[in-house]
Amino acid sequence: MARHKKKIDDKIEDLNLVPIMNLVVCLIPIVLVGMSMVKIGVINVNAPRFGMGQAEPSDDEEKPLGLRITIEEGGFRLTATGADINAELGQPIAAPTDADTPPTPGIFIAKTGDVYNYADLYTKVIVLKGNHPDETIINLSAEPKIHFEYVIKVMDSIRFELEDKSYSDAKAFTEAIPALEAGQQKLLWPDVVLAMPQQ
Amino acid sequence: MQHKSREEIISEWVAEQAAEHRKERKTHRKIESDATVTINSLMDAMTIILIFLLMNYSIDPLRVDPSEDLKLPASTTTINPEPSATVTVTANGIIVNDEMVVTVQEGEVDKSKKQGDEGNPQIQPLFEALNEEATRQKEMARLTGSRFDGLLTVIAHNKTPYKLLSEVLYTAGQAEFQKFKFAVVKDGSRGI
Repeated sequence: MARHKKKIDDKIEDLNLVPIMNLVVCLIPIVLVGMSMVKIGVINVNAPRFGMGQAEPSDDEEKPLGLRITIEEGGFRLTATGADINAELGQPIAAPTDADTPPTPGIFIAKTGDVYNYADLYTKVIVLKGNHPDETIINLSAEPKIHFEYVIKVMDSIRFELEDKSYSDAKAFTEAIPALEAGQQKLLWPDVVLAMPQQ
Repeated sequence: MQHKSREEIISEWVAEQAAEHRKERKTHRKIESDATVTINSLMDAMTIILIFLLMNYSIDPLRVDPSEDLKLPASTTTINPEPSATVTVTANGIIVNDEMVVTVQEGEVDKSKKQGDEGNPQIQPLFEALNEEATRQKEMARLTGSRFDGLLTVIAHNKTPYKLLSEVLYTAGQAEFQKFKFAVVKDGSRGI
């Protein structure tokens, strides 16, 4: 009897893992297919202002810069309600093409060929940041047909300060490293407020 | 002594070889019958891979399946998504929390879907869906003793016209969503 029991004990083998193995091999491709391979991030945007006027500051209060970037088909237009940015950037107001229309203040950054000049935009907004270091809010608008991707690219170009103050070409601007302050990326114009499209 | 013929020597040699081969096969079969494939280590590796994949699958608060209608723009942002209500603007429609609320044709919502006159940027079916979502979130916040944060993540196709995007944000604002996040693909290059 004892000999018979010993014989049974000897026959106990390892667990049969093959069915579990089959299950795991099936589950891995299912999970891989379900997973998104792209890394998703987000960009914070402030609540849009649609047609609402800003409260007028009192006399003793400093007037906000009210910097605005408008993405147009031909390039970027920089305007400000609280300062003469043409004087600050040393660029006179461009003469209008039509003699009947008054000259519009602001700076136009034309496309280079078919490509928007993000490097020049950065060079201009960093000068304005130097003149108005407490300002962080920038209004962003675009013509109705401008694609969403250009809005994101403009936000990327003005969000952080880079190691240099100006970039002559797009390649150098693309490869530039953000400037650091106490181990953190130094912010330039991080608070973007979207505005209604320019007709 | 009788010499063997050449044929006899060859046939003897072939018979010996065949006997040896049979013997070898018999021994080999015996060894094979005793051997088992050790899959324990493979099983361990597979289990670790599966757990790793499941962890990544479950902690991602925002899942976007890119397609022809929904290609996210690339960005240099380093901010990770947070759990929130989502509005997805594809080339074909606007989706609120996985439910299509209005169709989009050539980058525009049909004028009949706008509230009031044509110039009004409020998209009525989107407003109703977001208003319902806001009401649900407020009720949840009341029950859990937290505050309604009015956070909305906008997942938009990279070719979405700015006019449609601003209409979506305006409508969301009317439904009391005040904080917005744009979903993007990380690791984009600046200015390209």
